[in-house]
Amino acid sequence: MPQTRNQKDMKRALELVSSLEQADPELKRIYGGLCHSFPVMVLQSGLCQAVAFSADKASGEGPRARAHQKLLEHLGAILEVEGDLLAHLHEAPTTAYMHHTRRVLEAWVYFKRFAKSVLKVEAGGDDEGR
Amino acid sequence: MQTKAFFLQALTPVHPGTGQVSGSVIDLPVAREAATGFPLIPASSLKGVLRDGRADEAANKVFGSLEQMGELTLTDARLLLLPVRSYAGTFALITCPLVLQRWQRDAEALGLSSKLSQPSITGEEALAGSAIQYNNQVILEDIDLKVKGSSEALAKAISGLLFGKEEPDLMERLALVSNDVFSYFCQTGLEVIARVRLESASKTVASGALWYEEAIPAEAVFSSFALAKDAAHFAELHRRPYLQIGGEASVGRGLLRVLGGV
Repeated sequence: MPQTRNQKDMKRALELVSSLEQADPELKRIYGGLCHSFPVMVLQSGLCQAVAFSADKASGEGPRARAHQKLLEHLGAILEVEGDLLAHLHEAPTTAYMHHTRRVLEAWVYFKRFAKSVLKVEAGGDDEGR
Repeated sequence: MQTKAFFLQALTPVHPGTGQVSGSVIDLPVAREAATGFPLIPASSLKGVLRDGRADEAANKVFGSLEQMGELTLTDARLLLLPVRSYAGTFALITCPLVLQRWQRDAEALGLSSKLSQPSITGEEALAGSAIQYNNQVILEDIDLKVKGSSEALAKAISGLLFGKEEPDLMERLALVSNDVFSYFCQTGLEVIARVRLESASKTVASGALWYEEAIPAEAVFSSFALAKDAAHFAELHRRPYLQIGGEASVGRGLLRVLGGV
């Protein structure tokens, strides 16, 4: 019996978020904050700008860069894109881009929930959007 | 039965809330149609505001009471025009073939003779007014659409319904986009407002006290129909120059003016 998209998203989000449960507390805190703020950034600025923001932050060292790397990795997993996500988004036709945006918004409902219940990170942490 | 089409134009962002919804990344989203996901103002909100707490006999007759059904029927106010940020002309007012077809179908079903032209558009093209075109494109937030032609005839028809005359702003800003593009902006083009609760002593954000609310942007236009045995009841629609609908009234949300008279 095939599963609904919501069932698959929930399972995937739980696996991906739980993979950070034992991670460095600072990485966990920043990643959890991003789970809350990222979909809002997508709504306010568009998927490309939100991903470009994370790609920029992911380029350095330390827990903040690693949190953004994880976010990009998890976005790729949900969108089923291997390799450079930003390059893929740049080249996607408008219809595919609109579809990707809506997929991310749909799936990130679960990332938000699990950031709270699994990683114990509430919305409003001081690292959101940084 | 008499029928009247009327329209509501948002003067400030509108938040016809649904309470907390678990299926959205926004904590307090706006009400939407189940099948299309387009934002709407429920008829019950509209009716409550028009009645405004009156319980006299005349109001009971028009709006109903526990003993008797009201003589004025209102439909949900559906989104007709959505403002979207535009590279040229600041913002565009977008609509789509599905919205126009549904309005025309409903108007005919309710016995109205008013017509809206029904141009078609698909894919990444648009019919557009002069103010929002740049280099033969309409650039809406992060979506670029190719101008296929002018939206003038459609703008004239919608202007006639809303204002009874050609309204220059609408004539210049209207864009007819495909159903898919309209649907995309109905999800991603609304206002997202961050709200916080502060600790009263420290004036810092209380832990976990950040939430996001959604609002339909100012300039949006909604369409609704009123039905009544007696056409005199339609005067209730225009009793005040503006209405306040939906939540967040104390921070200025939900001010709308009533337009139209067909």
